[in-house]
Amino acid sequence: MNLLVPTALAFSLIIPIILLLYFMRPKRQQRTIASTLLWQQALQDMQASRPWQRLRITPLLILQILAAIIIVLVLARPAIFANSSISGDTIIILQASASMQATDVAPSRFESARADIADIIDNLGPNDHLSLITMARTPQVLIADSNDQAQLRAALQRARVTNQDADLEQALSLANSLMNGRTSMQVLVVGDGHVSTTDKAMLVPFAVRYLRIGTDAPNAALLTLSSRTISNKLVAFAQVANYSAQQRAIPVELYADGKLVSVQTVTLGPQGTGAIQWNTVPPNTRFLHAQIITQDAMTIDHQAWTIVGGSQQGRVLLVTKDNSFLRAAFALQPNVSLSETTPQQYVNTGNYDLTIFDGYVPPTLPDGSLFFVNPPQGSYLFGTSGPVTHVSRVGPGEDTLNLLDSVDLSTIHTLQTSHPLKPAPWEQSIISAPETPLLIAGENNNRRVAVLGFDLHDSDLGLQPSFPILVHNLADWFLPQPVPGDGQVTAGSAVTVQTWPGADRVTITSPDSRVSTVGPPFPVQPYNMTDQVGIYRVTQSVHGQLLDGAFTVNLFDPTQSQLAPAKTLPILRSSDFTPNGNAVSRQLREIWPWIAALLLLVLCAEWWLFSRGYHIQKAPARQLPGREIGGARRIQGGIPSQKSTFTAGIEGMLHERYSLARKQFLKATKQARKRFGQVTRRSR
Amino acid sequence: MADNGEKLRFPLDAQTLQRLDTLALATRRPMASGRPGRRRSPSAGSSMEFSDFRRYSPGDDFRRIDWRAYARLERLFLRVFEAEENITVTILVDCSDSMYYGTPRKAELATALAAALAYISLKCEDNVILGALTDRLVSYRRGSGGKNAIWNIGDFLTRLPRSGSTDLNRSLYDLGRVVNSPGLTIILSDFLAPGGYQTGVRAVRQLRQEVALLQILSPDEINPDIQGDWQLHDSEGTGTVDVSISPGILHAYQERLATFTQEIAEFAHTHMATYALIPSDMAIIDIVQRLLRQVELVR
Repeated sequence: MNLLVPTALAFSLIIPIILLLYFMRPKRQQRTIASTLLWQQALQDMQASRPWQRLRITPLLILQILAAIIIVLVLARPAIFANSSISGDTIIILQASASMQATDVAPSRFESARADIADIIDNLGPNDHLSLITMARTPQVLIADSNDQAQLRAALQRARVTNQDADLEQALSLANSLMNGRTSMQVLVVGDGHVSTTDKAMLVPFAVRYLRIGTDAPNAALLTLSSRTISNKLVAFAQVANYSAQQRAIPVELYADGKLVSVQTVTLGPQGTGAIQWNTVPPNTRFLHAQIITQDAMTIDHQAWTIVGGSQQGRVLLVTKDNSFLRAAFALQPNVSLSETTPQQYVNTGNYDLTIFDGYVPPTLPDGSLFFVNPPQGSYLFGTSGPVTHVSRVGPGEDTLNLLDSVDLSTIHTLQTSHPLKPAPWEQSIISAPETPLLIAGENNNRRVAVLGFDLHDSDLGLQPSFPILVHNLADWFLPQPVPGDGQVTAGSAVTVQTWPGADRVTITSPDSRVSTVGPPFPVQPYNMTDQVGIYRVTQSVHGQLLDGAFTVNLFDPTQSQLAPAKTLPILRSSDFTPNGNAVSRQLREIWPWIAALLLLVLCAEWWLFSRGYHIQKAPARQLPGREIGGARRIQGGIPSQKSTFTAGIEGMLHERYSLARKQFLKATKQARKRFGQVTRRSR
Repeated sequence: MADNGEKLRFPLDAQTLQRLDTLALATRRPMASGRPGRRRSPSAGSSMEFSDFRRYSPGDDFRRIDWRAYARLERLFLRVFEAEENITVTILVDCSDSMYYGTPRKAELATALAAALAYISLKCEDNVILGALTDRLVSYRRGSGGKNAIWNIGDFLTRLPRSGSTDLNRSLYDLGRVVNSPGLTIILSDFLAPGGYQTGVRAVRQLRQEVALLQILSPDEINPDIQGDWQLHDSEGTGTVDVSISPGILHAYQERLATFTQEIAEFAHTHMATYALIPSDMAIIDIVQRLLRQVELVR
């Protein structure tokens, strides 16, 4: 044990002062009584003219001296060398990615990491400060720069494991900002090291230690699930990975809209991947769900969901004499349910989400979005269409709507004439020639309107590979999916669903049936509760009609599914962390709080003794001992007999025992002295 | 006769006095004072009580010869009758400062008790001497002639001096100037005299007095009810004592008090005296009718 402030031992002078106070006679109250004769006789041994009295060793004196010794000890700040896993200011980054859910370490990697951090908090020194950060897709500060163990534990309890990946770079940059320039701080990463930025080693200006959690547990994972229509048959594909050192047969179930399609088993070699194909998926299936049915340490990657085709289909009416380009291109779109009519048969029923007018514009326009192709000369909703003029060169316009994504216009060779279009202010020119815009598009009054100024038959655009892409882009713009692409969203990422024009209410139902309203207000708020894997249903209310869409959240992350913990972090100055190893610094830990607790106990005992003594004094004194004398005509008239109380009884008993013990002790001392005297005499 | 004002100053009220009417002071043995009274005398006398026969000797009163005995035995016998005399009851009240402390004051009880005993004595046609003691016999008053003398006594008791220290030895020695016949001497005091009381009591015994020692102590002397650290001053100025009250010290005090009272009791026993310890909060009628009866001072 070391003393941090040895000079505080000078305070031990208080002990002689306490003794001095006991030697000094107390200041007394004055009182006149009839006669002091009896008191004088009773107190002969206590009367002394000196200001000092014989020191009486009382329990109170002992306790007070003990308390004084303890106080001096506390002031001297005794400290012991304690093994501490960390010292100084430390930032602990707790990995909370999907792989931390693995149960190869009981109860789970995350709980194990949490327990390790709890141990570190328990051994926290009085001058150590901790910050806690969880590392997932976005790092989160649980608590910053705290020394309060209770607060740290509470913050640690708030940490939740996620289905996300772990972004080490962001976590380290957050840690760097928490350091606030203090380079003495150290960073400890607790996790399995499966971080998303493993391709390049990072250089950070501080030391990072890594506490590895987890074992090389075998795991099987679904890496993709998709579907495709091949020769009018719906086919589902899945990619399965075997992250283990042994060859494994992995059975995978496929469910179409909740009904089991079939189970297929794929046998994969060590660290191998393989594909499974289901050819018997019923048509008109909306959702596919694949599931690996083996027991592994990690189960979150045993599930996969996908949406067949578009998640929501729009009703499209093509009004044309006979345009096979448009018909074929729109019919291919997964989010389009195409109907067709001729201008002669066209009746405005108002039931379509998109109406395409090819070479014809009706006198009254229907509700919903509109796509005009080759509009006759006239003035319309979108502006005016002039008489056919010559067009020299086709090029892209201002494509802020991304309608020309992956569209190559340079291959269009045959386009000579077009109606010159004069767009309304809310429209943009997507494809233009020097003479006139060729494709204009814009949104006005909750409807989207696009105009193609020329007849498709007059150009080779319909024959180009770009045309289906352009139509696809247009269909996606007219009837947007909630989530662009195949409807896959990474867990934990914020989703801003695309709404149809005219949508007045958008809600999202998560896999655990929690409904969140993201709009109004519009544009919709980003939805960030995408941590669960599964199907998220998006419901839009468009013009009074409910429109069901969906997107899916799957893990599909080989980094997270491969359970073997990373040997090192992708950081240049990373070192391994061993909780009880030799590398751990031995740290001086002060023990005064325990001594202070002892002091409190001593003071309590002193108070108890004092109050006990006080009560005994207050209790009726014992009765005058009557001594009868035979023959004497003496009577103790009327001395009031008082019942001795329980405490007085105990006190009397203790006193008797004390005097007995004292007598025995004195006797023993006397005998010992006598013997000692005899021995010395003999020796002489 | 005493006027109204003096009546009021008698320490006892009429009701108490009425209850005392049936009582009389008792002595252990008859005493010859030579004054006719109502007590049995050790000498022969002329009362109606037959006592003994004795042989005739010349000069005896012919009228007491038992002629019937002479007729039977032809010897002259005299019939002897008991004599009835009174005695002098001396009641000495300690008037030193120490009697004026305690709750209730010991002096108040001493005065009342002296009045009661004087009343009982006067009622029995005994002579009464009341004396006030401090460091000497300060004053005394004789009273005789039956109950009517109580006003005289009352007057004395209400004007008892109050001063000085206690010197029982000297003040009791002074009694020789006053008492000249055998009788009963009752001493009312706390006996807390630094010089002791033994010599004085022996001197009183020399005056052919039967002695009764009635020790009056206040309840807080019998059972001190104090706590903490005290400097105790003696009321008679004989010094101070520093006391830190603890159970042990209280115990020592009780022991000391017990020893002190035991010493008085033993002394009384040795000198054929009566002793009683009277707490000052006791009712006067209780003391007389119960306590003093128990010690056979009153019958």
